[in-house]
Amino acid sequence: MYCPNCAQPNVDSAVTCSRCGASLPTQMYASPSTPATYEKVDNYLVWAILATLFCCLPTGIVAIVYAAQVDSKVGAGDVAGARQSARNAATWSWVSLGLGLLFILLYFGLVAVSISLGR
Amino acid sequence: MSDWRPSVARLEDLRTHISALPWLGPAALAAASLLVVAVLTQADPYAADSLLPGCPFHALTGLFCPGCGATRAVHALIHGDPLLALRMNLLATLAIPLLPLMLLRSLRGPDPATGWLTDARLWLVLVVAFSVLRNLPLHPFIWLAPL
Repeated sequence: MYCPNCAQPNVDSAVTCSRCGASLPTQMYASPSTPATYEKVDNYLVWAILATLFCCLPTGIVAIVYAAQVDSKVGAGDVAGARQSARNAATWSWVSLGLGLLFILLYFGLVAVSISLGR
Repeated sequence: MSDWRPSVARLEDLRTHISALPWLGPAALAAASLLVVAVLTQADPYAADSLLPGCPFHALTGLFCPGCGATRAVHALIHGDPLLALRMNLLATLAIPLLPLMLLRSLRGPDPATGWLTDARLWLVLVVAFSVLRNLPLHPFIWLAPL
């Protein structure tokens, strides 16, 4: 695990950081949905950027806006609010992915039809 | 299958299952990237009868969206022309090496050295500024519009 004070990587069983000596948060169990005492809320930014730049979808920009809200709220210590924004960012990333796939399927469906009709 | 809960609750379940598999997203992205590379080594986006889809936003509005030129940028990268890729879509070309880094970082935990990279506020400013500037018909900015 990483030290919340200096970001030094430590073995999972460590109680204090090997570099700065700060006490490390005890991990109850390893699961992405239940982080330890210091919070890192995933903002789904990579997927929002992918949707915006490679699916050319305005819904991707909505996802980036929510991702930016996640970072602002984490910075302000509002973990509950950050989680809510993260859910919105994830939802809009999924919407973008779904719309992108739908468009591609429709497009190639139309191409196949036009080819089979001999243009 | 006797338990037909509302579909929203089912979607929430699906999301919980998926978020318990942190490697699934990167794996899907790697597979999709391979598919894109395979298609673009064969297909030519410049051919008049190309089957590759154009940008629907550009077709509808005549404006360039932040993704316009991304297909041709990836095509240029595959064919060894990074300058042409940057000319087609500056932001998408720069994002191609950065996105895997960001995914790795989110899997490995906090790292102060690259923390700015995954700050969504930076990317929001970049994407919005890029979208506006590449549509301006003024001299330095016309380099941001695809050919």
